[in-house]
Amino acid sequence: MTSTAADVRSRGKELRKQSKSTTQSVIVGTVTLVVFLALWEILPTLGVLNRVLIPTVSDTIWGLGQLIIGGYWWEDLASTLSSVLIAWTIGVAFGITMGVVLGTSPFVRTAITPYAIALQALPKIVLAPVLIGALGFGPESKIAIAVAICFFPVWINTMVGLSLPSAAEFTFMRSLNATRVQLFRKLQMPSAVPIVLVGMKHAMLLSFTGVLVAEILSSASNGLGKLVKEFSIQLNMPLTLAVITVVLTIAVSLVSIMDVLERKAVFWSESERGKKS
Amino acid sequence: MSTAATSGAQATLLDPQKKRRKVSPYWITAALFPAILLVWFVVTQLEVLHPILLPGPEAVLTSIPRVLGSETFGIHASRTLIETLAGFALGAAVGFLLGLLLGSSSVLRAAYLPALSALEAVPTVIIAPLIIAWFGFGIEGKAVQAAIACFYAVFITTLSGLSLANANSVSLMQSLGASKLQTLLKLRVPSALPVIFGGLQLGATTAIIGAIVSEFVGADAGLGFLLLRYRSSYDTPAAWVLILCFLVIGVSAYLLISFAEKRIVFWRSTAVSRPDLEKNDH
Repeated sequence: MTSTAADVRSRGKELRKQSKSTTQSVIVGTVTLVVFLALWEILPTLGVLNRVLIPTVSDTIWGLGQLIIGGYWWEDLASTLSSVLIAWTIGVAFGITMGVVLGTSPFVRTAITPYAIALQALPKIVLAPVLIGALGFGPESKIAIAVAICFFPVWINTMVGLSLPSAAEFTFMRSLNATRVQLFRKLQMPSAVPIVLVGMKHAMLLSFTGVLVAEILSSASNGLGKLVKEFSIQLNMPLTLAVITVVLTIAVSLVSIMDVLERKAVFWSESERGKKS
Repeated sequence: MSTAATSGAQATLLDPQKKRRKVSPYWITAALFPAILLVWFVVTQLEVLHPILLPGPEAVLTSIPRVLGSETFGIHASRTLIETLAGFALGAAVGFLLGLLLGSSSVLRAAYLPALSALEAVPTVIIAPLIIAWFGFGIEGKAVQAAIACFYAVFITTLSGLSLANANSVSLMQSLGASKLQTLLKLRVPSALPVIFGGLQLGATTAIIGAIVSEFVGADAGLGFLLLRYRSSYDTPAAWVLILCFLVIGVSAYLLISFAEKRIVFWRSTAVSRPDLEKNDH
């Protein structure tokens, strides 16, 4: 039951693989994009939408250029990126450790499952104000919030992955006199790695979310989240949208990198996935 | 006679295993809760952290009536619930309909899926300040943020669930002259429901997060707003009571959707296999 998040995350990729683009679909996609951009440009210009709140495409592109030329935000970018990566590393290490310690034995796993479900249902972002209160406005509170949010899918996916081999596979290994360590290394670990990697990808998104929330909440620190908040308070919408574009680009690139790493690392899981779907 | 003998044999066969598994794991589950409270209590008694930063369990417990009994608590709580529910309903409806649309046309799927699936990677909180600027501090903005937060999970599970229908059943429907719409409504949607409920469960959690984050960014009422107010007046025990409230809200949403799934998808155990769930135990 707790595997749903990983499950949802892995579905997008499978679907993308199945759908092949034809000339027809390319035309439909291009037409939609053109119509969307045209409406975005024309409606605010004509005054149908408020141009202060919703700037046109050209305004936004101009804002993006201004932002890149301005160059005053490199520090914010560096601060956000380093916090995301540090928090992700800590969260993944912590999650895998928790998963291995608590997930290797089915007995312990059953015992702590109710707590895992409760922790999963808690919107962990509510810890942000308390953590900022305790750790201040610096990078520590950002990293702590991101770790609190992002370790969870790694932990759960490690536990689920370790439990994936069937009872028959365990019995077979034991009948061949496999030790506990061998069971773990040769049976449980290979089956866990693919799903742990999905959790790590999800953790990247959550780590980013945690850092951004911390930056938006604590106005004294620097970072892209703070930048978005300040620009939107000034009602400088072209620059707000420009920073949002930067964040979206970084997020999509990070997840794409994770996708490539996943494919490289678990060459053996392709057949496994075929069996499951 | 013979049946009695076999059942007796079975009992002795099962016996050693029963003896080994005498302690139910749920005893540990029950014992863990007081243990956590005890550790929490000891840590705060040792004053590792200042009581303002980490209040003890007794301080949090005694704050419960004060926080829940305050005059404005009902207003804030109902505000957050309405925002979350409205946002969840909106996001789930849009996600479901878009999933149906893309699920029934391979052309649309190939045209839109690449762009839509990039949403998987997007931290939606980044647009919270923008949404506030567009919709103001009221309910609407929070509901929109919650809807954006939960849309993707429902959309992608609907779309992938629709492809799960058994190919033989689809050709049977077609050979009996069923229209495309009939096949969709009577076969493909029902077989997608278990997967969609997984998406709804995840979506409910993300909708709550969307509403809270939006309240953090700017609001005039709501539990997230109240949490920030308690935090800034250094009333940390009250802030922890609100965190417990969010835990209760999250768990109730989870349980409600599980319950609805059991009532609505009552046939699941026999008709539709969910390898992701069935493989979990050994």
